[in-house]
Amino acid sequence: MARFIFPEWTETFKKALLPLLGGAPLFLLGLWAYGLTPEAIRIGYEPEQPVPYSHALHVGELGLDCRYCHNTVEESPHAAIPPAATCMNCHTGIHAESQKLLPVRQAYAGEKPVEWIRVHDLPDYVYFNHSAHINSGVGCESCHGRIDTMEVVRQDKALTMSWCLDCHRNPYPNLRDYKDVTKMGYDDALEKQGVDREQQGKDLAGCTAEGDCSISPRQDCSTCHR
Amino acid sequence: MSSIKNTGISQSEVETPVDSYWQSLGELENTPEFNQMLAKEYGARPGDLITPFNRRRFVQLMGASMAFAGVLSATGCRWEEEKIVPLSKRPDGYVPGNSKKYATAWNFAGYSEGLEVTAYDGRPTKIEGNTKHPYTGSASTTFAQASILELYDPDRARKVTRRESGKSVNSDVVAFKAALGAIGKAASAKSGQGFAVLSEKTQSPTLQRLKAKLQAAMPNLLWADYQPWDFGNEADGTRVVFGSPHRAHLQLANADLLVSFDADLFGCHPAALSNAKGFGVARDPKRANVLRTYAIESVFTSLGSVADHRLPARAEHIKVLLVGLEALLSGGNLNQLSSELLTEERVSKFLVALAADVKRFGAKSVVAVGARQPADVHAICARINSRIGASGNTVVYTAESSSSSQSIGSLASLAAKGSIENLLILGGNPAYDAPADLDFKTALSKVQNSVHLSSYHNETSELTGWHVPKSHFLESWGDGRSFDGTLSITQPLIKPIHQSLSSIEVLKELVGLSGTSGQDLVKETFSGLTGQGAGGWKNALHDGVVLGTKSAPLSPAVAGFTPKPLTPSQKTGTLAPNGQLELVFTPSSQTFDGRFSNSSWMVEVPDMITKLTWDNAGMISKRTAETLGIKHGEMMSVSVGDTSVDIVACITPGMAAFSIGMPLGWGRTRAGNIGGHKERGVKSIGFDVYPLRKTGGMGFVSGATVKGKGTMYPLAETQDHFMMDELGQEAIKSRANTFIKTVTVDEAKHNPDFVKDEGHIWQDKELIPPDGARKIKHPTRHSLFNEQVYTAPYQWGMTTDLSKCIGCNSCVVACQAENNIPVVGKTQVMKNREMHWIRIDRYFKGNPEHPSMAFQPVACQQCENAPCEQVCPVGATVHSVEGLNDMAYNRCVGTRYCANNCPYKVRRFNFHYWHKELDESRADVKKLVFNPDVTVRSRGVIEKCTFCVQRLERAKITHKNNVRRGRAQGLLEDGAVKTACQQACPTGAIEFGNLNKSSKDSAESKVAQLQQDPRAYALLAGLNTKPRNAYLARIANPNEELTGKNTKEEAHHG
Repeated sequence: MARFIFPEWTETFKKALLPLLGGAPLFLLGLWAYGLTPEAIRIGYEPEQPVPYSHALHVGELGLDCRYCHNTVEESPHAAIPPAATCMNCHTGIHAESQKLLPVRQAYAGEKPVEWIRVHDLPDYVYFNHSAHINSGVGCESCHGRIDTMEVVRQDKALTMSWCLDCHRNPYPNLRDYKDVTKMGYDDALEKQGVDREQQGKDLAGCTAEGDCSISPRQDCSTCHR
Repeated sequence: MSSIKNTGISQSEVETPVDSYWQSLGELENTPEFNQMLAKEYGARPGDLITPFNRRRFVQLMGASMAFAGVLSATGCRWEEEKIVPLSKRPDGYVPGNSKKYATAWNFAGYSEGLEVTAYDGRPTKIEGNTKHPYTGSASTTFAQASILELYDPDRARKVTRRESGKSVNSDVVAFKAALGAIGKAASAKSGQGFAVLSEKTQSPTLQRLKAKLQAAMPNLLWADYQPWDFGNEADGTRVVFGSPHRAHLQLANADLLVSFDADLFGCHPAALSNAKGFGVARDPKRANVLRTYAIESVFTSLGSVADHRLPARAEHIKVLLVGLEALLSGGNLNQLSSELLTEERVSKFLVALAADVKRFGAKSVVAVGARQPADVHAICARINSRIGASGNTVVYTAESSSSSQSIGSLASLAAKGSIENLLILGGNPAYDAPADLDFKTALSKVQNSVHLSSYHNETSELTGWHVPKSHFLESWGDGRSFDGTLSITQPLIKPIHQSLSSIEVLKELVGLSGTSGQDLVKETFSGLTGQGAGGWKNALHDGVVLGTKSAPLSPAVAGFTPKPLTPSQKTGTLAPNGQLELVFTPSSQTFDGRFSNSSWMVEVPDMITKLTWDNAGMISKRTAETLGIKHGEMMSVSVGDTSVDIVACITPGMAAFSIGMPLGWGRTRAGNIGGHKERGVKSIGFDVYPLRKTGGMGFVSGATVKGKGTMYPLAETQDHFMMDELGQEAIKSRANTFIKTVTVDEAKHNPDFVKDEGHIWQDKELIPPDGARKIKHPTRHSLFNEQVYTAPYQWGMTTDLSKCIGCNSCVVACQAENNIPVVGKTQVMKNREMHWIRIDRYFKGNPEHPSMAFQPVACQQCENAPCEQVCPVGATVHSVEGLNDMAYNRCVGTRYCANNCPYKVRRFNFHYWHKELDESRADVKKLVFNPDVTVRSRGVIEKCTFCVQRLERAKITHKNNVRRGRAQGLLEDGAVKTACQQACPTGAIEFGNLNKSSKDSAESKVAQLQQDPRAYALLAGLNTKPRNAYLARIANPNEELTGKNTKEEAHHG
């Protein structure tokens, strides 16, 4: 059998072959490295919870305020996960027999508390304080994303130190009036209206021409690490 | 400089004053060991950290790292999944993540101390003084601070046990209550004959009520009280002189002159906190007369350390000296007493000057005698106080209740005869600490049924039929009275962690109240005492104290009495031959009477005088040691009669000659994994000296013989650790002026700028304006770096008043509890690796036989120009805008450059993972003691004082939230946030707050004012580090008759 000869038109591919073969490991390495970044690992983390509680339903459709359940958020570092008793305020009547709510009813009956899986998990040497942010007018949405659209809670931001510092250096685009802190979709709506968020935030913080603002977050180590 | 070496210290007789401060004899004599310590901050090469490397280890490591890499890529590097488990029903007022404070009180050595306890998520984490308590106040003792660790000690007894054919078997509370009921029934049938109760001393009204009930039901019951260190001699002495027992309350805040005869007023004393508070007030240089203090004592106490004049004297000589003083006050002379000691020049000169001073100050002076001294010495003291008009003025008497209890001696002798069938021991550890002549162990073995209630299964529990774990005071209801009689309620903060009962809960079973809870009993007592109902009870719980329950002051009349004549040994002079030496028993500043020997915090905190950790030692003066031929650290055999004890010798400057200080409370054989446990093979720490302590000689005993054994014993002393080395050893002499600045009251009046005049070593003359040397505190210095400008509204600063520091270690332990500071163990302490963020430098001055002393607590000075920051290669330590020298543990890579560059030597390095034991499951409970607001540091990072930044941040955030919501205005109020050390300090020596004067919203804070005080100075100011902590120079108020004029350097010659 005669020796197979590649047709002439393959010459163009041949030239590209070498860089392709050489680049593949680099590409794979790059892909692997990207896979290790907090942005890739953390954003989208969406563990299955013991109770399939839907924020999309409760917040998005029914319009519950975040603070109905996470009621310590204004006074404590923790935005506490609600006790089963809070769920039972409604669910003694609504879906009282639902299988999905069984763990909640068991907890309420005093058998075993519900063990939720932590989604937003900062390292133990970071001391984040919810109350400081909420009272300054940083919306829930700014860090947690559109909770009102999530069937299962998902991590929306990388929560890395540089991400924290970005906002501590220039918090003003993320500030809103205290009465709006729990509003969802607030950022999108203002963006559509073309509002200068930075200027708005500066006004809220009462910034003077000299740059003195009532809200000027610190960037010291001890602000978060103690 | 060479004068240091040539002062002839080795011949201690030579009276050459050494006028600079020194921390140890090694430093004074400039020994090679000391120089090595100075050169290497963390000791020699850290050999224990280098593991031998071989091929097998290499393969292991490679394998592990490959596996790790695999894990990384496979699981995406997410850390362990964490669970959030909320309460199913959250109680009202509970906010997860925020701490709550509750007022309570604890009974320590019989008297209660008001406390305020912080709890996180229902778990107590920090103990502090109760600000509302009128007597003990916001300060707290080291013991109170450390008691939180006991709550979570894994060695605490967890189950009720019963002894069955020599073996301890697990039982339960129900079975115990049944057994106790049976004992009670049998005893009441015989109206208490053959039934005995041995209790710790207590002022608890509920316990006393139950006791009275029991005694009424069983008239023949034998109830005995015992406490190894008690204050019964004072009651006996006042009974002699006043006709009935009294309690003496010193009013130091009103006094101008305090004379202490062997009294440890700030240490192991029921009024320690109140005395220290009064001392802090009386020592204020702004006062018309700064309190002058004389101390005549055998063992250095914290009072002696701050005294203007101190005379070391054997404990047996205290009576002679007091009689001598009384003679001088009544116009007699010292010769009439035919005592050799009083003819010695140094003694007579001291006494004559003292008597003149007492006459001068009259009713403004006060004399105090220590608990160690026998009753008639207390009687003489009360007589003197009444003669000089101190009674009702600088000392107030209240009634001491007559005890309805027998002594442990009568109990032991009856038990030895076999006439006690049933014995209930409420707390304590008599098998370990009872007077040795009682042979309590043998007596106990003759009792048929015995029950022991105690937190630990200790030496006594081992011998009793039943052992019941005793609830911690944070787990049970109770009440008590402080030394002044104020009633406090003890409320629990947590349910009993283990299967345990309180004394009240055991006793109520015997008086037919088994159905009533401890809480109800305490409540009943409360309403019985105060006549108040539910509202009053609620207030009492909220405040932790019932105001207005203080004992009424009395003005007792002195009756004539003749003290016992002096014994031949009291008539001797200073010299005593071997065989006639004296042993002085003293409660340990660390373990007290032994009850804290399993508390790692307490055994690692350096003793204030010897700076010894993890051991006690026979304290012996240099002269005595030389006479006896004993070296520092040598084992010696100490014997009295035919009893002998081995203990290590610790040469302690200022110890009375031919007297040996013997700290009690060590050498336990059944304490736990810290204090020693024979059964588990854990070696004891320290030496048990109780075998030498017998009835009649509980305070001190003469006729001791000491023999050196020639063997050396390693001591973990911290006195030369973290030495601030200014110009190398050459600078030792100049330390007197730079580290501890002392000034007499008179001098301070004549020259208010004295601190500025004490020039800096590196003072650059050219930088001082020709006429301005007095005007500027520190000459202008220029930094090589761009200096940070501090504009933030809060600028934190601290002052430490050296006039008030009594070296009590409260701040050290408070800091340890607040900041999750680990303990490291004896071997590591010997390598300079202790982790305390505050070290209390103890300086001696003068002749080692009778030196004066000064304490200086040194923590991170929070320099504005911090040398540590300049050398950190990773930026793990940088400045905050509020002037704090921040430490980011997660960034630290452990180069230790910062520690090397820190002139104050305040940085601590985690050479090991000190919390390793917490990985064992038995230690799980110990994790609960951690403060959740502070990172628990791991191996390989540096740590140091942060000015309790977690408290600052909490306070600021809460305040800011309030401002934003319109509930508050401006900045935090002065004093709204306190550091742990400041809060614990009994004398108020530490002040902390905002230095920023420019802030328009707040008045100038106390600390800002103090930093402007003429006494304020910075440590090593010449280095231009600009510390945020300032020291206030030590004020001395010496008697010129004893010092000669203008001798501010030498506070006394003795």
